[in-house]
Amino acid sequence: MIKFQKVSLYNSSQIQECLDNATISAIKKAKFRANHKITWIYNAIAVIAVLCAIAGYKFGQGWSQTGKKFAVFFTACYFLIWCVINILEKFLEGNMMFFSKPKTLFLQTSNKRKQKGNQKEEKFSLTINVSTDLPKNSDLYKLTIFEQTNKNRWWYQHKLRRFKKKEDNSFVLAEFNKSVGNWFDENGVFLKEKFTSEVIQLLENAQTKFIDKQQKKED
Amino acid sequence: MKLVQKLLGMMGMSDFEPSIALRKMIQIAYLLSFALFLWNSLRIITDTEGPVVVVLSGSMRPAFHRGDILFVKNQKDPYQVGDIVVFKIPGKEIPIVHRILTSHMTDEGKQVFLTKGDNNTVADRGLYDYKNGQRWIEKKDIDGKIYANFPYLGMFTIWISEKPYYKFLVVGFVVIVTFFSNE
Repeated sequence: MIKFQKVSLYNSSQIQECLDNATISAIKKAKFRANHKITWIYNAIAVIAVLCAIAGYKFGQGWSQTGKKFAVFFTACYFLIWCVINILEKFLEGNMMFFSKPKTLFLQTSNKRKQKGNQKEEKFSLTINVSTDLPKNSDLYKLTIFEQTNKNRWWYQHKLRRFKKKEDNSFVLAEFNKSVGNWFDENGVFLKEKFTSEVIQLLENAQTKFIDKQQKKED
Repeated sequence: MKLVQKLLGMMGMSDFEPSIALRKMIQIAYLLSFALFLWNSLRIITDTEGPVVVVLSGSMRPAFHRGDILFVKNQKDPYQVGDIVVFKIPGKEIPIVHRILTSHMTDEGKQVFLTKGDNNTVADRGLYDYKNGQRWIEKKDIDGKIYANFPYLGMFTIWISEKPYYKFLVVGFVVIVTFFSNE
């Protein structure tokens, strides 16, 4: 039995979460490997915060003069870490657009292609970021695939020149800005296959544009 | 790992990934640690080990009843007769909330107190560490003074402490719901 996901069409955060999860699964389906480095950094900081909270509680037992000082120290550490996590989440990710905060999914791909004739394997490594946005009171879902690693290899920078450059020196590899009505019916049922096929098509176009020009030169 | 994935597939959780589960557990721990942080901050602000206490007996009726939540704050100024204070007897874990009946200065210049519950017929001397010669309580025994209370809000805490298995049940339920939600 096939299960269809259903959302409330009046809840834009629910719609965005549904589309973002489908975007992640589409990207994985297109053989992209997720890079959770940023998430693991957040989690490592969160673990330190948890340890500070526990230490603050333990040292506060009995409320002796020495214990009090340690409790104050660890509580202050927790507060600083909490501020750092909130600043990273709000300003690092919130820097992308002015009015609304898109979710950024950091991804990296390593794509192997075989050359015809001499059966040589070449590795093209394209690092991409995917940003999504669904503003409040809007039905337009914007998905942008861009490159932001600033890799110094000359051939990498040369390939990127054919793509549109943004103000923050990142390159937009592909994007679409479509109404969510394309993927949800009037009852809020999500047409996942249709959405994922569009995302995969977008990724393949970006990859092809990135890789093919070099292959044509070498033929 | 493949066996784990197969077992999870049989339970309808075929897309379960251990790394995602670990991240979720860290996020849950971080959320719970915020409650600890708030408790620690409250301790620091009120300068007391237990800024919030629950009344377990009826010894302070009609002022406080069993299940009332009391807010405690330490003070640098000397305590006065009539203040309702929270104090601990050496060797006993549970703090006592009673009113200061009398106080006086010792020859060493220390202020000492005698307390009594409003609903008790006798003073608390019998509760003190009589075997070790304690006849009075000192400022160091006092955690703080009551400055506010919420009636009956602590009945849930009493119920949980009387039945400890329910505590694990409630916490476990909250953790499981948070773990399997998509939020």
